[in-house]
Amino acid sequence: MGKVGRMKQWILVLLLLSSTLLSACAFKDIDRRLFVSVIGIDPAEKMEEGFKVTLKIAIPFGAIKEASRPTFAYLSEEGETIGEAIRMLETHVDKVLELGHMKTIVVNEELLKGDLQEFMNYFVRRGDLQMIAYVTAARPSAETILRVEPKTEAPASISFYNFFGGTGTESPFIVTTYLFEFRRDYLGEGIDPVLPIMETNEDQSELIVNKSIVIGQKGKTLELDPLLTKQYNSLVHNASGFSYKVNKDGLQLLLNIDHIKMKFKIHSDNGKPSKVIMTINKVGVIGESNKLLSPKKLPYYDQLAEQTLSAKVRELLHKLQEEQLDPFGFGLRYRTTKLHTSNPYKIWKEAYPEIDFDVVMKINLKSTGVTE
Amino acid sequence: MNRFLYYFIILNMIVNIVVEVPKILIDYSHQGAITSIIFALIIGASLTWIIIKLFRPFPGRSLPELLELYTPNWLNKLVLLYFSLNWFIAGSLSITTFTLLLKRFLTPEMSSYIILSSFVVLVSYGVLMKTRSLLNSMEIIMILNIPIVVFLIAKVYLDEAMDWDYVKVAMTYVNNWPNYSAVTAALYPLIGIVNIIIFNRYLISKMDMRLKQLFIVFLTGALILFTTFFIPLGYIGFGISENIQYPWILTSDSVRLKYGLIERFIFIFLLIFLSLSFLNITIHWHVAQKLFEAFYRSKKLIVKGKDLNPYLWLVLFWGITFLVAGRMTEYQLFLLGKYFFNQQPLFLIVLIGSLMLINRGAKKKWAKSAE
Repeated sequence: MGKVGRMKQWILVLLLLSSTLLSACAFKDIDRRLFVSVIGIDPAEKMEEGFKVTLKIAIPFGAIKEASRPTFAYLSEEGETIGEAIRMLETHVDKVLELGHMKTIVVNEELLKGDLQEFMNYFVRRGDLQMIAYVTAARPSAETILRVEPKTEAPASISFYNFFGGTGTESPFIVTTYLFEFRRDYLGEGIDPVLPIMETNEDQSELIVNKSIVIGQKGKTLELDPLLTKQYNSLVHNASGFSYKVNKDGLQLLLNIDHIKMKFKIHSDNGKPSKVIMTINKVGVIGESNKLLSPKKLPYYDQLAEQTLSAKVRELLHKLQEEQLDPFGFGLRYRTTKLHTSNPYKIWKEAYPEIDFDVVMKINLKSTGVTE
Repeated sequence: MNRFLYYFIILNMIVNIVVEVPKILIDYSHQGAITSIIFALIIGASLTWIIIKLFRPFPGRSLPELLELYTPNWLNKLVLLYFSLNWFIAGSLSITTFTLLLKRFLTPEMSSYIILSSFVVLVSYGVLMKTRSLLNSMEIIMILNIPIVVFLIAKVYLDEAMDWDYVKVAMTYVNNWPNYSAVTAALYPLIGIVNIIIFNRYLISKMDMRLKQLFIVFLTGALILFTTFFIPLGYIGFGISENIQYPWILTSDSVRLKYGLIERFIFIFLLIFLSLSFLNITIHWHVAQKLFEAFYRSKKLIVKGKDLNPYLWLVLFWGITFLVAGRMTEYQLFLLGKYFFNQQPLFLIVLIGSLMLINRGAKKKWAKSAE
């Protein structure tokens, strides 16, 4: 081997040796970290303005077999801003608070009525917080919700995560809103975000999510009851597992809808929006009935269902219109139809309270189920 | 057209999806970004055409060789210096922005000098490779990465949470005049062909461009610029995205791989684009180093038959990059990038001017030798 070859060898050895130095610089091992799994925000109790931040921290344990229940620790602190409170919390524990795995942000319902920009800022500005974290409203307070440890929670899992995003349960009553969606629709003009409401039962052994809340600008909010939540969710997010009860002349049908498609169009008169035409296509089967059904009469059942279902959708739309809330994004859609110079959003806002809704419901029942 | 030319063009387009270009374009989304993109597309495609045509008479020759042969000496050195600075700045800008990006999103606790040095060492290895080997490794990296890039982009397009209405709202701002900064920012991803000035030496066959190829370049450019500018708006909203530092990083963080090995899309996205950026930086610095070498080469540094000149330039590259990256804030870096984009027209004029001079000089010489 020549001189050059030996030189190269030495350099290689040096490089390899220097890599042992690297690990010491920044990396903290897993036993020196605490993984924050859920973050809860309440209005401050001790001070006038400010927040109370509660963290739900998952405590790791050696083997899943040894643990019968998941173990969590809770930390609470008040501060004028969220960042401050979290910084203070860092002094309450001996390990690094790791926010990169935080996946649910629970916000007290009361806070949603105020200006959200202030605390949302923290979540968007930090690079290590995920934008695909779920956001949910909490009732009565974020802290109570966070401290709930449902009986069905398995060791090494967090039930908060399984509620949303179709990870665990999939129900049309559960609205999923990601942090980026919430930010986008909250700040955007012409659409209002919807958050699920998380509640708990009396003895705090269950988490319940079946209502939702529409958040408009300037603290205007509207709560949607479970039925309206289901309607909204099935139309906007095509939530699966949608079932609906139809009652007519003593005939009771339970429809299981498994495919929903919604489209809407905005019609204009004299340069002003006058009518929203919403076309909804639903495909499904009959799941339950109190009488004998005939497959020949399926079109008749379609018709029955269409009438009652479109009435329900109309109710939702009118309720939203009354409050001037717009979670469907009609205003945003109207903005896309005109050049920006004509200021379409202003025109829309003026026209929205008097706009007509036309709901065209098409239901296609494929079968009466296994029996007639 | 030679496939390597496509690689250069497409690599430059893809790499610039991530950092500066979308930020600048979205900043001007109310002030004519769309018309600027269209304008830049026309300029970019025709520039590619012109540059390839101007290089056609000289297969297997690099620009420094041609300059030496056919232009006066003083001009030749000046042009070389200007070009080499351009390529060097392009490379170190990418390195610094990616260092900041990694520090922000991937390894927040690591010192930026360590991130930077791991970058620089790896890139330097590539820079010192033979040009032909570099071409081949480029091909391998591209072929390995492009399918993943296509998957990632398709995923972003098809995600349910993407709200196309925001994109359409952005399109209602089409009736604005183009803006200079937006045009130059949109032009930058399109001029990947300029790397030909060194690599032409090793590319001989099929160095021509016909209408079909022009069309392909134009179409890919349009697709990439559309993706760069419009797609983030569907995730972070329109009218509220101007205050976002890294629109595409936020976008990639908004996509969820529900059934993926890793749920967070951002990590795969960052790593893939990082590897392509690595390649692009290597190419930039390789060209810069070759140009610097043509500009100045010391005989003293040839020790025992081994040329140490490339090392000299590399050490210089390292030093400057370390200095710059250590001291600059994100905003300064962003501004610097913007100025760099803004001076592009001068760069292009110098490039095309010198190529035309070369063509004239060559014709004269050939005429003389024919006599």
